[in-house]
Amino acid sequence: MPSAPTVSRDGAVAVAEIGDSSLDALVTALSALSSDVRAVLLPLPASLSDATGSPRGLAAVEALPLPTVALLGTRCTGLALDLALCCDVRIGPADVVVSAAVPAAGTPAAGGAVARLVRATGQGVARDMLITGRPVDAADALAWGLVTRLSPSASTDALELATTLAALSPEALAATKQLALGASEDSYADGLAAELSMWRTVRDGANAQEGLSAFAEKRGPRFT
Amino acid sequence: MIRVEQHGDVAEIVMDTPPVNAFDRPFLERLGEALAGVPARTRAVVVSSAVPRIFAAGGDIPYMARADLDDQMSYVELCQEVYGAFDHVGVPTIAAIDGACLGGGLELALSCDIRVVSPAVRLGLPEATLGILAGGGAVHRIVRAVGQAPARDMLLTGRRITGADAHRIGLASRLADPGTVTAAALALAAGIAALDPDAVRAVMTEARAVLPVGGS
Repeated sequence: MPSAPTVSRDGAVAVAEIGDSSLDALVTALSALSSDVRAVLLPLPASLSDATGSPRGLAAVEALPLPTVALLGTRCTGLALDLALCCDVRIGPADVVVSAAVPAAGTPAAGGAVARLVRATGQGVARDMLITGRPVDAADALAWGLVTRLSPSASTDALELATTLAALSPEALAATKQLALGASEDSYADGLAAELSMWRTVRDGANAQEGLSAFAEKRGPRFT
Repeated sequence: MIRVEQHGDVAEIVMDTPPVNAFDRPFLERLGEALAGVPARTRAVVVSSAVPRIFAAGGDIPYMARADLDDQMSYVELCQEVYGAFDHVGVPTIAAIDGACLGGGLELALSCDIRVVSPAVRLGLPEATLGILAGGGAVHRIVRAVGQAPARDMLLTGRRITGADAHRIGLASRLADPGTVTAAALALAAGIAALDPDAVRAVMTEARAVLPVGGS
């Protein structure tokens, strides 16, 4: 019987460990986060059982309106990589190795995972990874965006970054994230129009005024 | 402020507004006019900066901090209009980035077809850290340029990456030594100008119109 995901708090950061539970259980835990959580840190195991995959689970993690930071260990394979790619930032150790699952009978990729890898890195890299399951070393993973940051102190840096993100304007981050995700789906003209309209909505809020005023006055912003 | 230097069939738009080539309204209007006014013989456009250690450091924050909302909206619309003109100009455009390229500066560079960069310069989109959006089209342009994987980290954290990192992730497709970036961009533009212009325009127009993977 798999255990439930563990969710702990570090200030405004929720640290959600999926452990050996399922994606659906993780999504349930994330949907129950209290409203004062401003960023989510997801320490990932090296792999997750394919049985724990769910198209809705991956999509729900990707669509969280909060910034998400994935902390990778030295290996990140298959569904664990799919989950990492649903996060906004991926931090791994300097010797991280990542891979898509090796194709095998009876273990289809979790829903959306193939498209997500293609959208993340482009067809050139993605098809090689998906068809062969090849391991990708840290240098290539960084160049291809499979990890976005490498660090010898990845877990410390990941929490620090999540804490920094948690102090930013939540509506600016949510709108930017929504637009960025949309940029892989919408038409260019519609997307640019959405940027304008959301720019106005966000600028009309108190946090935007605080951020701009603080910059102009050369002080640190205090977002609410 | 901004001048256009013609090198044969290559037009160079030189941004020269110290200290940081800030994108205030007159600067953007002049940038749009400069692009619209390149001579008809022009086969490629280079955008460069004459300000040392700066490509362009972005929007006019003190203005945005105090102006009323409708006024600011017309400013952001002007940003989209000017950057959009680079999307639609009939010849290839090349950004020569040999200094800090931040906010609106990177929005402009992302509107160009090709980016040449020196290794130590800093590039970033800090808007989200200021509580606002990169509303000039950069969200869509950076995702289209490099994919979701590196784009959301840059957009949400506002991190500044080096030119070397930008080259590694494909945000810039060419590296040049400091002090040689504009020369490299002009040489590249001269090479493009020597190609068949109709063929260049055809492939460029088709490439610009390709949607991201999964797009509709």
